[in-house]
Amino acid sequence: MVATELRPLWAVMVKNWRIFLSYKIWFVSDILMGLFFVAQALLIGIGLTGERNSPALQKLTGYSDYVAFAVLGLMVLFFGLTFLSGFVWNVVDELYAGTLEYNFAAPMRRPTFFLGNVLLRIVMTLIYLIFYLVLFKFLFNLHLNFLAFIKAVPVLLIGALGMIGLGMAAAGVVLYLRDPGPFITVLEMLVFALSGAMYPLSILPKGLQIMAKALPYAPTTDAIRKVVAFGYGSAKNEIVYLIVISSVYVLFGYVAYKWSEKQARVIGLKSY
Amino acid sequence: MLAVMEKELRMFFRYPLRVVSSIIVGIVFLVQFIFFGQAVLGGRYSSMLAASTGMGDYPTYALIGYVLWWLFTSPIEAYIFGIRRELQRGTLEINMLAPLRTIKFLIGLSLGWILIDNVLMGVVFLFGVCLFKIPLSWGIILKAVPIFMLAFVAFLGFGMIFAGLVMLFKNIGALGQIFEFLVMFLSGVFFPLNVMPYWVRAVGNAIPLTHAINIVRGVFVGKSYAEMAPSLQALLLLSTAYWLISYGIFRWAEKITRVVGYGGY
Repeated sequence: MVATELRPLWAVMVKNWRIFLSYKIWFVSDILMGLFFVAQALLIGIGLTGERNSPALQKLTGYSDYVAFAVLGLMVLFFGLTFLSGFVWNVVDELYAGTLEYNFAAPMRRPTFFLGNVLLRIVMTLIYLIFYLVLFKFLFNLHLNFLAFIKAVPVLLIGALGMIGLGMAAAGVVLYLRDPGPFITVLEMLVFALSGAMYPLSILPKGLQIMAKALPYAPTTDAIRKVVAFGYGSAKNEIVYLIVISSVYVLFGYVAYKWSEKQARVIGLKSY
Repeated sequence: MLAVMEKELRMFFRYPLRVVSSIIVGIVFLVQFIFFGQAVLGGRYSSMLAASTGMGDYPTYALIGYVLWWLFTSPIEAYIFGIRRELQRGTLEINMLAPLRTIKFLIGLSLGWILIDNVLMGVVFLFGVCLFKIPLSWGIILKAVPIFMLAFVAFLGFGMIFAGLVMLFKNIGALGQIFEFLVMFLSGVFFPLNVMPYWVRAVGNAIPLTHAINIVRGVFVGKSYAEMAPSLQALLLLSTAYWLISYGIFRWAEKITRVVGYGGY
């Protein structure tokens, strides 16, 4: 069973890789996007305070180096968005190209199709993140304890489960929309604003703080930042909350996707 | 030209969620940097920023930069994506055969988008004013409007360069976006330019956005037009120069594409 699914999984990954390769400028724009945010953070910080460290940020988060704070947050965000984009943008692109129904009719299980889409993006994102770490170390003299960073990987994996759940639920919604692109953009932007990647959540209005805590991204970022800076002992509460919210999203994503897929079998897919 | 504009407006509003998504993208982009600045500062006022630019309130500083940057990128995107959309739909050559001059078709195409884009920008600006409690008075608005208009004329001329390039190279969307983000660093949109090396500031001074931002920030802190004369002169000079350059590039590109064809996407 597993062996028979490996071939289509590989085929989906190869198909996506070929599409990616046909627009090579994507490499450049993807790399520049990360560089853009971190460089902005550094220059804003220096322009406003004249220093590399911020006592105000340290008081709020325990991090005085605002570049390290932003890099950690952005890395979690980029990693997390991989699941959303892997599940959703691929469905959207197939809808736009008019090939989704053919792919769904292919002799492979539906999760294989989604996994193939996500896996390639995860590999690409991991390569980008390693590249970023090295680049930022040289370019911005990034001070990050890499051992502590590695120690935080299990926390990232717990958060990833919740992010996968959200991605599956969003993929379900996409099947229903006539023009799903803007819906995904809105969702991605909400995730971006509420992820706490560039700033601590405490700076947001109360209502937005609650919304941010209800998504899996900000709790993951919070837990990772705490583990990297202070170790697992101090991050107990954050990790417990992350386990709870990730479990809820896994369940919600699975149920939401199965339900919408069942509906789509009856009413058909909305092609673009 | 009106028919071309109407066509673009109808297509945009055919998908209302696109309006919402464009506004949310604009807002999220803005708040990222303002909230980050406030977290680093522990408030909204920076004495260092005040010393280097005359304006210490960071949300006001960033909002002005961001809105003018949006105004600057609007014609560039209009030309690039207007042509690209026509190429994707396979309607560019058919429209080029219509009984109107190419330049009129392109201007109609871009004006439709610019109109939509500027309304969206206005909504994001008002949202920023309310969220960050930006001190805004009728005096400031009346004094800033002529600067916005002058700046927009300069930005239109600058954007025309891309109209020529897009006719020659077709799919330059990624290149255009890289350029737009680069301009953020060169023109002091979110941070003062004094943190950049001298040569970067020199390049920034050749971009009309840099001067437009300086003038509008000056208006907000109560400077008179006379006090901002050097920036006003630079803006006028660059406006004339870019219109001449872009018109030359456009005519050249038009001549070449008449020979090699417009191609597909």
